[in-house]
Amino acid sequence: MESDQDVAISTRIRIARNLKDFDFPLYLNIEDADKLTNTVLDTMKESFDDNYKFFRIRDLSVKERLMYMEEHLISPELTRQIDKSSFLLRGDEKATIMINEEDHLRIQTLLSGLNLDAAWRLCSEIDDKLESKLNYAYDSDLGYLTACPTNVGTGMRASVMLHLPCLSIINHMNSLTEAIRKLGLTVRGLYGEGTEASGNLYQVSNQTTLGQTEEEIINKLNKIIIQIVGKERNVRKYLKEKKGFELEDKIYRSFGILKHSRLMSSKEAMNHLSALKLGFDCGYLLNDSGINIIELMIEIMPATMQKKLNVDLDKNERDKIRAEIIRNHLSRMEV
Amino acid sequence: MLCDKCKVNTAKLHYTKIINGKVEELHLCEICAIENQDFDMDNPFSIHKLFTGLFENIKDKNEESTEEITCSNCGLTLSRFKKTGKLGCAKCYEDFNEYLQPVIQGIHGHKHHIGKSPKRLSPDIKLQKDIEGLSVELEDAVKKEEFEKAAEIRDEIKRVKEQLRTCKG
Ligand SMILES: [Zn+2]
Ligand SMILES: [Zn+2]
Repeated sequence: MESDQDVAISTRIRIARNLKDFDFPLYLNIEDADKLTNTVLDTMKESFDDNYKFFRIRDLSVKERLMYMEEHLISPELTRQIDKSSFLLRGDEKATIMINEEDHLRIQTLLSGLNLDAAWRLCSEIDDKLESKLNYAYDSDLGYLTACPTNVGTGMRASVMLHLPCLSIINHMNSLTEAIRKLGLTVRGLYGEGTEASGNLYQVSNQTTLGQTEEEIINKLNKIIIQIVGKERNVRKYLKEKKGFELEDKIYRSFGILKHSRLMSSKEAMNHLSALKLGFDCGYLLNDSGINIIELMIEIMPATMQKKLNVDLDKNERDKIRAEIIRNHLSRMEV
Repeated sequence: MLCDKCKVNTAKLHYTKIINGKVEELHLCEICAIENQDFDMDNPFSIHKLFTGLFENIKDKNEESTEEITCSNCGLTLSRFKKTGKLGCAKCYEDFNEYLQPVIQGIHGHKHHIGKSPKRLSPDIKLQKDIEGLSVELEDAVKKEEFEKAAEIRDEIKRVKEQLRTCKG
């Protein structure tokens, strides 16, 4: 049986907002950056009853910053202006409000599966609450004004993370990426711009932000994602029927390596975990101990691993501990 | 430590790069770091670079006529913007409008925002938006040859325009 997260893993929407009375973050001095931060925090206190935790980047260790990045809860950009930036993380980790990123506010929602409507609703709700007290920089012609003209208008970037191992096996990713780009969308690896698609994970998102409503952007993205998901599922079915033995072999080899390795780089781990997930989703392997592969992929990222264990590790030690973590997770799996 | 490039701001970002076996170090402030993204190992392909290229093309076209344009609010110069690709404040959009318009059109293929707008818009922007909305309705009514309805909408537009005039004082 196909789970609904067999291909579409998660949905993320972020919107950029700026306050009228402040220069954009890059040109703010630290005092004004703090003033702006306090204005936002006051608004949060007045308008929000959900439980948010507040973090200043300067109070976090480098490892902690990386961990939040690896979990996609904050953007890399947020950690570049150490003295000015901070973020609020909702208790359930479904929403982050980043303060003094490239823009004054970046509101982000992160939901599992393909869930664009709900992610947009949540994002827009938070936006409304903030806007009830804050004066946004808005122009009736250009919409929400942003530090970079590439984001002006809706200020919205909607993206869906996809697991596409079989489209990769049949070497279809290049032409698919090309086709998606022609439709005005962007395809990137797991950690954004320029990162390679490790673990066969891809993020597909809208490229432009001006001239369409948020709903139009989301509907278009949704339609295309559904098509890609359908393609991946078809190829899975095809490979299972026509090349079932080869596919099964690939999956079991990966399983064997994951179950018995003593040293494992994150790149190697990502590729084998991708095959393992495929094994679960195609019914070659039974996930009886309920392993969440995507969570495991994040758990073995360098910073997250070191933060959780609270130690500094060199590469060789990391590869050793990574292999150990994976073996532990798979130890209860029967074949 | 001062920024290696502007020698004004404090250096916040530190880079090392090995070129032909020689280690090169660079200490930059946040603003200069953005101009130097090719030095940034974490960001081998930067979409920003792509767009600054776009901004620079605009410069070439207008080269003869340009004297430096400066934002009247934040003091950012247009040439600085062309280097970083980042504007300084909301007012920059007005003061650099002539240069930004073709850039924005080039990036997005559109000139006008039609999505969400703040609920607490200042009254004149709100009225302006109302007029735009009514104009679309009017066009639609004319197209469908619903002339009675069209006349009603036209009166409504007149009324809102009058309101806008008094509101602007
Ligand atoms: Zn500098
Ligand atoms: Zn300005």
